[in-house]
Amino acid sequence: MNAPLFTEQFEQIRPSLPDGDAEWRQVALDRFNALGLPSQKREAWRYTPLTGLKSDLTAAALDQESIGAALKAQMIPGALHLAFVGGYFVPELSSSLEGVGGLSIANITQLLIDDSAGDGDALVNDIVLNGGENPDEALVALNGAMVSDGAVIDVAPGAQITQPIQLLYAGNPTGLVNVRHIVQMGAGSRASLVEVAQDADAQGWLNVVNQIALADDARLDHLRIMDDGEQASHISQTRVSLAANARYESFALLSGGALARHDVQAVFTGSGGHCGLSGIGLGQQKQIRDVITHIDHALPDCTSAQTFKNVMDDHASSVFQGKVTVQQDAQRTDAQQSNQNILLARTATANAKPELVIFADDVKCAHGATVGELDVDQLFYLRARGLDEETAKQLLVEGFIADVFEIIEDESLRNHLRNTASDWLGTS
Amino acid sequence: MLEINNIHATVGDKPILKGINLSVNGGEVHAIMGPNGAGKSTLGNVLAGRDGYEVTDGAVTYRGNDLLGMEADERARDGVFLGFQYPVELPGVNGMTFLRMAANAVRKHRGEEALDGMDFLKLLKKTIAELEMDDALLKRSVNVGFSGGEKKRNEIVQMAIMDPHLMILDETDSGLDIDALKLVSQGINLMRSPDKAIVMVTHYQRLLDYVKPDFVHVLVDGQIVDTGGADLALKLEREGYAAYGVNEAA
Amino acid sequence: MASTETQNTLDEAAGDYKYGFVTDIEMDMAPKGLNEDIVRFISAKKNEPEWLLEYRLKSYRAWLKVEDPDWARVDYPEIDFQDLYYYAAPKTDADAPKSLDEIDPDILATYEKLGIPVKEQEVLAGIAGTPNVAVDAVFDSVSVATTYKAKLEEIGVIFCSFSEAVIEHPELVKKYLGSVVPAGDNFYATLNAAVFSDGTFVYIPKGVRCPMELSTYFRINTANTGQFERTLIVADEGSYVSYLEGCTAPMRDENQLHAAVVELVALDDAEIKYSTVQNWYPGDKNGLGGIYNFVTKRAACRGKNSKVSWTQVETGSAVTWKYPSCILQGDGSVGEFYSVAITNNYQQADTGTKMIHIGKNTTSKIISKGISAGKAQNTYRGMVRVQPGAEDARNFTQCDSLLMGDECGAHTVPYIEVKNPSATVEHEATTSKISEDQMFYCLQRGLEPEEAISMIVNGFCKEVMQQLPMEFAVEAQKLLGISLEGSVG
Repeated sequence: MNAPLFTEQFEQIRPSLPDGDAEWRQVALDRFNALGLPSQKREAWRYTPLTGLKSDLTAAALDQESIGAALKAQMIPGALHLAFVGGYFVPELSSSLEGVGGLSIANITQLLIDDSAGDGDALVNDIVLNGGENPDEALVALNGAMVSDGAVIDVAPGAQITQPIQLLYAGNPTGLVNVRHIVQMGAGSRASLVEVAQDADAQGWLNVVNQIALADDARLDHLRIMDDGEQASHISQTRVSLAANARYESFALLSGGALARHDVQAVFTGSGGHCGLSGIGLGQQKQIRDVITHIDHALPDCTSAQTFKNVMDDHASSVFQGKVTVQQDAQRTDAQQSNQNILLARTATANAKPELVIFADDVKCAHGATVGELDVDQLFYLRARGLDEETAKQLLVEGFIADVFEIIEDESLRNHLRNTASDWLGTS
Repeated sequence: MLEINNIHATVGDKPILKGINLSVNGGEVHAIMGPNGAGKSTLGNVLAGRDGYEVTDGAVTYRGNDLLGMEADERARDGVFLGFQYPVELPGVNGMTFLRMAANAVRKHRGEEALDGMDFLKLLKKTIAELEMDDALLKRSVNVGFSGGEKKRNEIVQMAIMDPHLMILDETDSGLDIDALKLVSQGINLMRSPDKAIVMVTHYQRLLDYVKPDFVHVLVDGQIVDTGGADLALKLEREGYAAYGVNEAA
Repeated sequence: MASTETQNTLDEAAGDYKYGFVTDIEMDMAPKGLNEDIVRFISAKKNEPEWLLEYRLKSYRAWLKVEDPDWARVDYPEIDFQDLYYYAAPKTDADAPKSLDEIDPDILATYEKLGIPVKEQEVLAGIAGTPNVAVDAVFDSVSVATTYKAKLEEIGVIFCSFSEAVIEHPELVKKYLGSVVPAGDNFYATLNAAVFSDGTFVYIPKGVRCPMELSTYFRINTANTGQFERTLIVADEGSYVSYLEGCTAPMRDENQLHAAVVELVALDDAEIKYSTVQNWYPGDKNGLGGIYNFVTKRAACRGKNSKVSWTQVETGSAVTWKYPSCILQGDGSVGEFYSVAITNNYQQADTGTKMIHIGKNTTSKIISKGISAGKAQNTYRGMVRVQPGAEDARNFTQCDSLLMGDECGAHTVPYIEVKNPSATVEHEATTSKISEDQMFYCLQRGLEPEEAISMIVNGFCKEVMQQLPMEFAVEAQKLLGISLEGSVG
């Protein structure tokens, strides 16, 4: 086993963490060290080096004012904003929840310190007991050990929350920030969650864990913008369970940061549900866009659809490891996966491994993956109509990724994401 | 040839046939008409022996034998032919090979010698010429990429080659344009013979203009509620099924 | 099928071989286990030159350091490498079964289904008193081989056992051995490089189109030493050869482990077509016994416009683990992989291919059909890699799985790694089952259930079956039906 990591940093930040002295944090850190940082020998990390995640990342001092301004720029009008600066919830920069029925939002700090806020013990147990054996989950264990804060969102049964709940991340110029969100969707409820990491000054490591549980007939739309600063590394791990007839629609835009990793593991705990995972990866320079998913069809009559498109330029590389498991009882499963990749430069790379593990026979499972470049005929056509090469390329790339955005039902959210992508395309 | 005696049948848990009585003799052409959901297709599937269709009461005698006691493929080899409403695709299975296997399965059952490649081709050519169709469809995989009309034509070719005693044609006319309908009807008429019986399940009168039935039965809610001659079909076309208590949206 | 005449020809052919090779070692049996002495023993028995002994020893030493791999989706009891014979003389008549009555009736039933006459059945089963030929002996073809062998020699085609080639054509063997699958490549290849027993050597000279299909049917091998086969096929510039490997009858065979290595080299404008129909003993209905088939097969498409086509129908073995691959080095080179893998009862297969695109304008095509029934597990594992310098590479992959019953599994694990934007890579995979509609349609057309399944399954595999040379195609089709027996739910 390698020398333990993060021990010094852990001791340093403990005083500022909620319940920082608690033993469970040490247990979680020990667990992380037992597993060790996943090396590229692990299948799930085959294409993604974690060498930059050093043990001595310390947080820098934050300029609250400029951060406030940066956050305001990212806020989606009409949404409920929850701001996390340097990994801590900042109520002053966040929306008030008054008048929003059926929605209860607390934060991890409260949960750990104040019993009335919610079941802090359950959270602690979860961190201590789960995710201990699988080396691929080491960062989840690390998150548990050093989690500073996060949102605890409870949507009451039947509640239809029309305002999107926006989680904003800012303020991590160096250092390692661990945030964990817990979302419970009551039976028949509906809400949408938008996570935005768009702080151009954030260059550190952002390690996020989302624990999401959807009760019967619940629906959650979960959008994510990973548009961090140039040197940043953003690892996002989502664990979601779907009860009977529940619906989880996730969309991720990986457009910033040196490393962006979107890891989603979903399991059906009831029949009749649907899990939709989609996203777009845009890479330039030496960026890595890593999407790893696992949908576990444990019960019959569930459906899933995955659509991921990547556009890689310069020395960037994209990874798609999409795994669908259909258990023996999961008859009448319909699981589709599609991964399309375009390389804009000789030096870019696309890696795809759409995996199917199937134990039931009355199923419809298919996947498709393609890698190619922009169509030369199409390019010429545009240029023959007066567009210069850059503009022509941009137009074609926009066309390529356009249909993935259509998956997002909410028009304003869709546009917001489209604009972020356009910005990237404009500068590529 | 066929005696259907008080047949009750369910599909899944749902009772569909609720006491069908029908006698079909050699040389006769019967038409079974009725509104959607009456049980028309169910009757065909029950007679052909499809899984998932359970006979809860009654009996069926075919050429003196207990039909319901026979497996689906046994019935087929014994001369029961079901023309499917929606013929399924068999990817990679060559049409000609499939048809020859089917023809030989029947021949073996009858104690006749199997047809080798050459003899089969001869028979096929002759049959196709009589039907005024061509064998292009048979060179492809069974039903793969076929239009509705092509699928139905393919069914007729199979029927002609297999030379059955009892032909149950399940909405063979659905989705056909006039030319295809004429061609298909011609094929059916060519099969008429004193020792053969034809039962056509149809929703529309149109087919019956080309294949004149001896008997027309009206099937409503799992029972035969009326029987008449060819003009009964004309009456149904004019008046619909309202007389039988059916509220059918046009 | 074969006549007494053929049987006599076979006896003669076997006789020739015995004289040169088998008789000498009839009395010798190396003790169990593997160590340097055994390696030397093997090399000495075959009168190998020093350089080959060195090659074996180097490989053996490397093997000691390598770990038994465990990444494939297959489960098998740990193999005790010291509990195997690495060199064994053919079974003496004292041990052989005395008559067909002693043979597993299931095996006999299969011989009958495949139309193999009783005499031939006896040979296949190793009955006492029959000629000591191994595995593959489809007797029609043997007479053809002896008739054409002279003709082959005339045009310069070398086709002989590997051991023979080492003696007769050492320069060729030395030049190409281990150049495609280096001794240190993987655990089983390394083991093979140390203890390989025999195999096939083929060399097609420049511009020659081999006029007939070459096959292991012709090459006579001694039973029980065929575990570590080593095959090397070299197609010189502008040449063509079609090679068949395989057996369509299950063998009564105690050898648990078959770790063969096949290396193919295609130079400029050359083409090699390599077809395999494998039906080694798959173990019984309860998953007991059966062969472990761990094979490393790789083709180096070295020359410009060279082409290698792998076609395989895998229906036997308890555990199959093989990835026939193509290294597309030459500009314009083409690699193809057509596969049907069937697993039933408790069989497991983890098979697929690797296509590595290195040269410019290279093309690869992968069509994989997996059929899983009973309690079997069938995994397709493939890799398509396009290196940065591989301009305009093209790949098309289609993997389809057919599941029969709900106790088996079908899995797909494709790795697609592309480092050149001019590449066009397309991958599709589907999973399905034989629908009830399809079954009923066939039944209603008079086919019996097993016939219907066989027909539908053959239809499913059609694209692959079409690639097989005609001789094989008919038997392979029958084999598909037989392999799925008992799977009608």
